[in-house]
Amino acid sequence: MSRLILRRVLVAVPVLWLVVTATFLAVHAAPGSVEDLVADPSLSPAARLAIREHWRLDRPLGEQYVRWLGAVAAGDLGVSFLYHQPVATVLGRALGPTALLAGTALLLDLLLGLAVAVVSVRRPHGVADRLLGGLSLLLWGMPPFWLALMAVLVFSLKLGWLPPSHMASVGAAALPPAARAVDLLRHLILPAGVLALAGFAATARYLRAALLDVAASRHLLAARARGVPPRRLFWVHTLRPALLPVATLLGLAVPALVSGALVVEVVFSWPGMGRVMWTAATARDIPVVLATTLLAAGAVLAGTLLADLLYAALDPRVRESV
Amino acid sequence: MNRRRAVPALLGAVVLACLAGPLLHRPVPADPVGGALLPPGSAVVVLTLADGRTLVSPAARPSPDGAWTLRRGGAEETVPPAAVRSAVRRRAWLGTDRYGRDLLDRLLRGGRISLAVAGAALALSLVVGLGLGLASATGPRWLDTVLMRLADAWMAFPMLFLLILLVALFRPGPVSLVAILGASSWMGLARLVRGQALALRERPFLQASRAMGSPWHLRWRLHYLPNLVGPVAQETALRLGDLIVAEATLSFLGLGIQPPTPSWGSMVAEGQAVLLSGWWVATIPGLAIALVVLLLAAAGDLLQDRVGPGTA
Repeated sequence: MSRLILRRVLVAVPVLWLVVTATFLAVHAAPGSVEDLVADPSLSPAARLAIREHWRLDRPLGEQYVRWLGAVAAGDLGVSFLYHQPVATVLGRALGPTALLAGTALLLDLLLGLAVAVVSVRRPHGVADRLLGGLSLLLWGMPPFWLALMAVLVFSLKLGWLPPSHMASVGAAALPPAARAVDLLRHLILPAGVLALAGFAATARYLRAALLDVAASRHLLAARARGVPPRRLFWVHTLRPALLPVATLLGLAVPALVSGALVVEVVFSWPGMGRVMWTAATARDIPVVLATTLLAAGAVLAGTLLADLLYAALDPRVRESV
Repeated sequence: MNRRRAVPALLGAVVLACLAGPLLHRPVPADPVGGALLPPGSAVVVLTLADGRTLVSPAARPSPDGAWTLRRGGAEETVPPAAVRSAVRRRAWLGTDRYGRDLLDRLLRGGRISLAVAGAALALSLVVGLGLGLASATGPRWLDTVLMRLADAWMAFPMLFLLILLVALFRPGPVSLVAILGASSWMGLARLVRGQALALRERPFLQASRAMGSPWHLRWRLHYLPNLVGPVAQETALRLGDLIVAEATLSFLGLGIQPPTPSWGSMVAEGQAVLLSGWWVATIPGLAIALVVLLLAAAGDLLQDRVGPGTA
């Protein structure tokens, strides 16, 4: 097991290095010089020169690259132009809300996918299967940002059931903890729900295929021949082995989740990483954009790694083959 | 109706409508006072005045003497017969936005841009993907390793973050958008082509062709390319849907096509501001995106059925 972890981490490191290098090159290949990005365009030439020297932009590109790599490796991501605060501080504030949103969405995604798949395989190609299949396909085809707006339109503006944006109501800080939690939950339902609805189709489709696969296997035939009751046959003998690939699915869901969270955060004014990145991109706050990109790539790699490890931990066959 | 016919026919209709529609459809002229936020299907009277102004009103009554009484922006207005050059009845089939612009017209024009950007990006990623995939499959071993690691690293980026990073660095515009979208979507195709080409190389007919000493260009023309067409076509259909959504998302976020040029994504963004008073402004372009994406997915399925798994 530890050998597997080591191997996977060793594979992830060069990929992360490539990502970092590509971002460095992209920043330097962008039109205009780096000090244009860093500084106010109305500065005097002398001040520009001072900035060039301060940021060591007058040094050869190779040297700058090594320095930058060293700084990133040490966790120094620079200072945000927009907030005049270290990037780490800006991102630290946004990490919690994003984790809450993405975590809830992932959970809903899995539960919804599981429910749809279980109902679908009761009678493959039956009415429920077709209906649910069509519905998930429809939701899959809708762009998430639009789905989010439609949810706001229906559930906040027309019906008035849920708040349309932000993480807390005005004055929520003064409420007792229990009321504050309920308030947060009410704000969480729409964004997390939209994110889950936009993503569950893939989960459901994957699980449905896995369930049908297991249903056709010999161990199930043997179990039936032994006289295992149908309920147990499904919930234990079919569902458990079919749930294994869900571990892989978790890893695959991370990139879509990270991108989807960005859009949903923007629509719902959710104060998370995606919104920070979007604000930074529109204001050309390059250090923050770079840092969020690296972090997102890191999250994707970590997600894939975690999924592989989970799979290995759950499935003895995989564990032994590596 | 048969799916085999319905899907290509509908797709063709959408593309044709976007290409030719703005020429055929006569929109309601933009009047921010009288014609703002008209619901879909509204009948309006368009008055062209002698001084060149155009007035739009959903509630306009002609008098027997040729004068017009109309309500614009809450106020009654009477236009004497001498001032009216022409009066026509039009229908805003999909309604208007808050500047009084005809949404059907903008939908068609926006579709033209959205489809053109996604199509051009697709062509670019097709060229890059095919080129790198083939280079990877047929070139030296080290090249294969380098290219495939590169594709892995590229794919580790969450697509949207990568796109936003590049747009933030290179400034949005139709051309840079095509370049950025194309440059960030070639990986899947490159891998597919590489895998297919490597599998083909070991097939008996290609071994035979090599053994006969046929020149490389003949092998490519007769064996590799015809066998690559099917899988690549299917991948292309799905990729186009992804690119349309990616462009729409960027434009929605204000990082893609810039206003006043319409694109489906930026139209949804404009609708966000008037979500309650004009639900149709955001709803309609989103439906158009979903329709095209679903049609493309169905087309991909059809292509898969047609070429089948047995060709590679």
